[in-house]
Amino acid sequence: MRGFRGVSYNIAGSLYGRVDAVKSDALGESCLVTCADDSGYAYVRSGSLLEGVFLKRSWHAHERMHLSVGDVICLSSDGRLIVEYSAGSRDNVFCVTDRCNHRCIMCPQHVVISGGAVDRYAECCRVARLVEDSSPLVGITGGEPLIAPDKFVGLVETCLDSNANWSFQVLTNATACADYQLAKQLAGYLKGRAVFCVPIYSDSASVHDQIVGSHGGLWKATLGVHHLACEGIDTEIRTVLLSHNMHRFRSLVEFICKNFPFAGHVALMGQEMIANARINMDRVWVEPSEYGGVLVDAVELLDDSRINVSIYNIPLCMLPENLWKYASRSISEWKVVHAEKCSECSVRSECCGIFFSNLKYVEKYVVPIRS
Amino acid sequence: MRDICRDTLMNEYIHLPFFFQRTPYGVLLTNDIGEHHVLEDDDFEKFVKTKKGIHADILCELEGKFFCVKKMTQEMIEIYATRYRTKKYFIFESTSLHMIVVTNRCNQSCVYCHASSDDAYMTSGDMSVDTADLTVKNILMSPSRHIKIEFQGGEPTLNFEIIRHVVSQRGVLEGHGKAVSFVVCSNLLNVSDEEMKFLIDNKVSISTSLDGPAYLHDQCRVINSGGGTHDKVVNTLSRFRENGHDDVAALLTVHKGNISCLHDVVDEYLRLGFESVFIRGLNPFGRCEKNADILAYEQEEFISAYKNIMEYIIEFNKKGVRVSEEYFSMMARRILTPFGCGFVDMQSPAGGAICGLMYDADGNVFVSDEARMMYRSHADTAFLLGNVHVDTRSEWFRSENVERMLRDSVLECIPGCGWCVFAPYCGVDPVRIYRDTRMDGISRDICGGKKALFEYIFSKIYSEDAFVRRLVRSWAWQR
Ligand code: SF4
Ligand code: SF4
Repeated sequence: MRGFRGVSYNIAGSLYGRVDAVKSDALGESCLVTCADDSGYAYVRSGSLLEGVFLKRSWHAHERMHLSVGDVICLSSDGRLIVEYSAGSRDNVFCVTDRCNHRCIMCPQHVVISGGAVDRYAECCRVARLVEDSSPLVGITGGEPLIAPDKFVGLVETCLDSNANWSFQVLTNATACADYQLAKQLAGYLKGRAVFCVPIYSDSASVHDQIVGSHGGLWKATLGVHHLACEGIDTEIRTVLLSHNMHRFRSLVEFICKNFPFAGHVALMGQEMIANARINMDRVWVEPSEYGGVLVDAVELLDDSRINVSIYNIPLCMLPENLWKYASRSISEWKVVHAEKCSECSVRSECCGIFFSNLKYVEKYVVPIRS
Repeated sequence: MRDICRDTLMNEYIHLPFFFQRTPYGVLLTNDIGEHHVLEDDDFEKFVKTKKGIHADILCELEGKFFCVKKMTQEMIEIYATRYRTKKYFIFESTSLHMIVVTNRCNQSCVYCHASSDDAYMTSGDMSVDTADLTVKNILMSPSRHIKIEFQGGEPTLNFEIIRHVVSQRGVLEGHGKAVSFVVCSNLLNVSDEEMKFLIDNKVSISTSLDGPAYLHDQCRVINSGGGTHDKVVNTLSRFRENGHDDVAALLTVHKGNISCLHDVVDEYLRLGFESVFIRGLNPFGRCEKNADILAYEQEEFISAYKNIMEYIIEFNKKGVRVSEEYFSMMARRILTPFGCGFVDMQSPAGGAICGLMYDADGNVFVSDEARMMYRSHADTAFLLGNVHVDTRSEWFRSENVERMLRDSVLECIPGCGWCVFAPYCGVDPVRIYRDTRMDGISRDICGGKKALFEYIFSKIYSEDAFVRRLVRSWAWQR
C-alpha cells in the first residue's frame, strides 16, 4: 500500500474517497475526490499550491506525487494519505485485521497478541464500495482474515453487491474452515471467484504446530483446505523455506502431493525478514546458498505429480538456471528493492528483486547475470 | 532447531495401525491409506516399543505418513478417513465398466482362449438388438457418471451391427449426464474399411492382442483353419494409424511358449510404436484350462521372467526410450499416489459388479469375464446375477451372489492377506479363488505370486539408483 505524508484541512478522523478527476500542471497535480456515502467532495493537491486557503476538506503535500482516476484513498486528520486501492492494479490488498489465531515464528506481520487489536473489515467495506474497476482483484489478508468469519462474509457480500465481477485471493491459515459449515457458506459466495492460499510448513504435525504456535494447527488447516476444495473453491498451498523444514523439505513436498493433490498451485517461498522473522532470525533463516538443491528436488516432485509450482521471493541469481521458469515476480512494488549491482544484470526485468528488509542479509549473494 | 520435535514428540506419541515386513533393505511399514516407510531394524524396535533414542527426524517422517501421532484429534481422524476414501473411491463410483459380449463366435481359435468361443460348451450366438437395448437400459441405471462400454466376444466385429447399434445410443447415455467411452476388443482380423471408418468417426478405442513378433504371436493366435495372424494384426494396426486413430492398445498373454522371450515381445511393441506393454499372466479358464500342459508355467518362472523384463524396460528408459509396464505402473500408482486405480481383477472388495459387469450375448449378466467363463466351462452359476430379459440391475445387486462375492474378497478377512504388508495395495479375484479351490483343491495359495511382485516393486521404489526411483514415481503419476 502506498502512503504519503502531508497536511489535512477540515478533516476529522478518516475520510474515504475515490479519485474522480486528476489534473496535472507544471507545478503539481490536483485531484477531485468523491467521498464515501455521497458525502460530497474533497480536494487533494501535491506540488506547489495554486490557491492560498483550503475552505473545504482538502489535503496537501509539497512533494509531487501521482494518483490515478479510480484510486480509492483514505485521508486522516493527522495528514496521512493512504492509497487503499489502486485502480487497475493486480496488487491490491485488503488487510482486514491484526488478529490471528496463530503465532508463527517467522510471521512478517506485526500481529497484535492481546489488547489494541484492530479489525478493519468495516473500513475495507467502505473502500470496496468506492471501487469502480470493472473486474477488481484483491488480496484479502490479515492477521487471519477468517478470525471473524461473519465480518469476512460481510466484506465479501459488500464487494459482490457493488459489482459481481470481484475476484479474491484469500491469504488464510484455513483453520476456521475445519468447520464444514463455514467452508460451505464461503463457497456460496466465492466458488469460482476466489483462491484460498494456505500455508503448510511441515509434513510433521509437531513441527508445523511448533512453527505456527498452535496445537492441532496442521490438521485443522489440512481439513480446512479439504473442506474448501470439497465445496469447489480453488486452493493454493504455500510454504516458506525455513531452517525447520529445509532438511526434510522433500517429505513436506510429498505430503503436499498426497494430501493436496487437487491444489491448483503450490508456491515455494523465500522469507521476508521483518517483524517476527527478524526477531527470530537466528532460528528461522536459511542462507540462499542452501536453496538450490532443495528447490530443484521439490520442483521436480511437484512437476512429476502434475501440480503447478512457482517460486516466490527468490531472486534469479540465487536460483539454479533450470528453475528460472518457475520463478515469479512476486514481491509487491512497494516492498521491492534491487541491489546496486542489479543494474548490471541482464535479467533484471524478469527478476522478483529483493525485499527491502532482506537486502542487507542477501546482498552478498547478488551476482548479476551477464548474457 | 531439530530439537523442537525431540522435545515435543519423544515419549509421547501414539501408534496408528500399520502393517510391517522385514526386507533386505530394512523393515517395511505400510498403512491403510497406502503410506509406506522403511526403518532400520534398530529404529523399528525403538519405534514399536516407544523407546528413547530414535532420531527426531524419523519420528517426524512417521508422523507425516500417519504411522504415529502426538495427539489424536477429530480433525486428524477426518483427514485419515478422507485419505482412505480416496484410495477406495471405486466403491463410491459404482459400475462404470460394462462389458458386452456381442457374439460368442470367433474367426480365430487361440490355443489359450479363455472365453472358449468353442461351440462345444454351449450354443454360441450373436446378441440380438432386443438384448442390446435391454443391456443399455440397465447400463443407464448405473449411478456412475463415467461409463465405459467394452465390446467383447468371441470376436465382436463379427456382429458389427450390434456395435453400431449400441454406439448410436451415445446420445441417450449422455442425455442422462454420463460421460461415455467405447472400446472394442478385437483381434483385428477382418475390419473392413467401412467399419474402420465407423470406429474412428465415433472415437471407439481399439484394444487388440499382440503376443510379440510373428514367431511368438503365431504360436497361439491362429485362425480356425490354422494359419498365423501376426501380419494381419500389424497391418490393420497401421491402417488405423494411417487414418489418424492412435487410440489403439495391445495386450499380451504370457505362456510357456513366450515366457523366456519377453524381450523380443518388448522390442516388437516398441517397433510398432507402443509406449507400454502389459505383462499379463494366463487366466486358467476355457481352452487355457484344457491346454494347460502346453501353456502353463510355474509361478516362479513367471516372477523371474517378470523381473527380467522389467530390468530390460528400465534399461531402455536409461537410454532415453520411454516405455513402461502396465501392471507395474498401476501398482506404483497405488503405492506412490493418494489415489487408487481401476483394475477390477485386483481390488478389495472385488471390482465385480460394483465396478464392472459382464453382459453375455444371450443377456446373462455376470460379475466379471471370469465369472462368465465359470458358467460356460463348468455350468457354475455362483457368479451369475441374472438376465436382462428377466430381471434388472437393482435385483442383481440384491442377489446373494453379489453379497457373497464382495464379502469373500475383503482382504482384511482373508487369512494371509489380513496381515500382509501389501494388503493396502492389493486385491483378489474371488472368482479365481473360487475356481482354484474348487478345481485344484484348497491347498492352492490365493496370493498367486503377488507378494513376490510387490516385493520386487518396492525394491525399485526404495532403489539406491535415483534414476530408478524417479522413473517409478513418474509411472505412478502418469495419466
Ligand atoms: S542481480 Fe539483481 S536483478 Fe539480477 S538476478 Fe540478482 S537480484 Fe535479480
Ligand atoms: S494376495 Fe498376496 S500380496 Fe495380496 S494381500 Fe494377499 S498375501 Fe498379500
